[in-house]
Amino acid sequence: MTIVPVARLVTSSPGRTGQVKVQLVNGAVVAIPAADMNLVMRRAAAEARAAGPDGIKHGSCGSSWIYQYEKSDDHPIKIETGFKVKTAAVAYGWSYTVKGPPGWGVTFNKSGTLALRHRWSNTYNTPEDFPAGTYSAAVSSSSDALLVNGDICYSLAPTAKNDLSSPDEPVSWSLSTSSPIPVTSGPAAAGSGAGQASRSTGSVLSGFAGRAGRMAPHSVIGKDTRKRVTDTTAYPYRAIALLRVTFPHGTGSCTGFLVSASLVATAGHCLYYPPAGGRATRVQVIPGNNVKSEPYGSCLGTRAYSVKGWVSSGQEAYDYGAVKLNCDIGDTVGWFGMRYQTKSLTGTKVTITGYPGDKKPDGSMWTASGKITVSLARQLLYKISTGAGQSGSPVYNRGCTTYCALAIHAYGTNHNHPDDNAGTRITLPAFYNFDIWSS
Amino acid sequence: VDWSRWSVVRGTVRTASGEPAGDCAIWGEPATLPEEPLPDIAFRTGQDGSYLLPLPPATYTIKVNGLSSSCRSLGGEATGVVVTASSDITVDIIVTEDQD
Repeated sequence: MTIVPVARLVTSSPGRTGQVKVQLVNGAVVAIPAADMNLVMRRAAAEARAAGPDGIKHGSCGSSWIYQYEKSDDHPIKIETGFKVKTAAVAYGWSYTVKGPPGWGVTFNKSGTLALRHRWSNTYNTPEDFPAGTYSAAVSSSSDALLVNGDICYSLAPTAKNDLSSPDEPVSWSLSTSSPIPVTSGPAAAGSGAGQASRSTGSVLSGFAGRAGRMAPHSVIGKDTRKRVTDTTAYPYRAIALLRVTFPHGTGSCTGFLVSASLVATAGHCLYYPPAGGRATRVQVIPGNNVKSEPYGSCLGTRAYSVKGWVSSGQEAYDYGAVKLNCDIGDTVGWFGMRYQTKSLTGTKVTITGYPGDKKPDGSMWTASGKITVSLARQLLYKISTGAGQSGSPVYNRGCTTYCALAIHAYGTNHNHPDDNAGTRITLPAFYNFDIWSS
Repeated sequence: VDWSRWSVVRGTVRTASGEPAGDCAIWGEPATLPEEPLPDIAFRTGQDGSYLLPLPPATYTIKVNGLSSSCRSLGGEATGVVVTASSDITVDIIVTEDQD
């Protein structure tokens, strides 16, 4: 018998048998009870870090440590630190710093009494999710324990350096820009510590109106209130695009919206769709498309972006992506801003505009408004009618100088939200990704 | 999303006269709540009218919406299409021009 560590999670939603699938480091895929998924993945994460740097330092009077992990929500960053001394301690003073990607870090300072204990430890979870990246943690060499005999036992300043992942960790690939464009079909502590997360949380990316002159389906809930947009050259409609997406085994039809001069936001599944062969190979973007009319022509994607949470584990809540274009059409048609906020958006009035396949004539743009009915941490739910082809539509309202996208439409009703349609919410990590992808 | 449970519906879309209906939107409208999240993406038929439509287990009406060469709307559907886990099926569909 030997133990083969788990390498990754293959499926996170339990099947009929109540099991999920994991892949071992030897390549084998095995099913495990969904109830044990978190236990197994925590163990896998711990195994992966077992070979990590330092973490612990042993000295003459005791040992001290610092370790970094992803939190229980799979995002960075959870920090564990502490010490163990040979002689009972009566007090301690402890400080450490953690530095990650630019602008992200933690400083920690705490002191207290110990009542003759030999051990002290602290776990700190950052209140907000940090992005994926390399994080370096270091206990200060001035950190100490005051021992009962009057000695001061100083830490030997353990350090840790880890690559921490996140479901929001970007994944990208190149797209074909050759022509002609094919139309294909398928082949036959928490918080007892005094940690302080530091991050300047800019919450708004500005929109831009552009320089152009004035030129009962499962997703239909109740009365279909969608109205046709006849003038698709008016802002913000001209900043919304029909997407024709070529997958290895078929051509998909989605919606996207400009968020900079050359970046189009859309749903992750419009770019990565395993049952159609996985990664999109080609994306044609047609801003303001109106049936057969392409008032601004079309651009091709040069690079597709999504995140691990969608591409690697297919989580509905991380279903977002973007396409970098081979043109700066946003300078002409404008773009949407983006807004992130952690507080509830329930009751907020929003509009969804896109290209539903169920509306005639084919290729026409439709819009509907309503209120957010449920505000989840990573999704917004609403009863606003949509249709197949509207994935990637902006869920937006006024703000951000012009219009603000708060979410990206992605799903009709299903077992997870039987009474509502759903969009992937613009969270801080998503906001951060779009900002980077736009630059 | 557990992709291993998804199946593929494939087939050909033609007009009543037998001509292939190319570049039409095609999608599945669930008659029962899908067991898996169903993204709001549509697919397109190829120029030869063939299509591939991935769907999670449920019962669907497969719907088609397109434009004829004379830019009249084309529509058609196949009702009661039962998709089971990991079991591909073939469904051919006839479309007609709208009388609007």
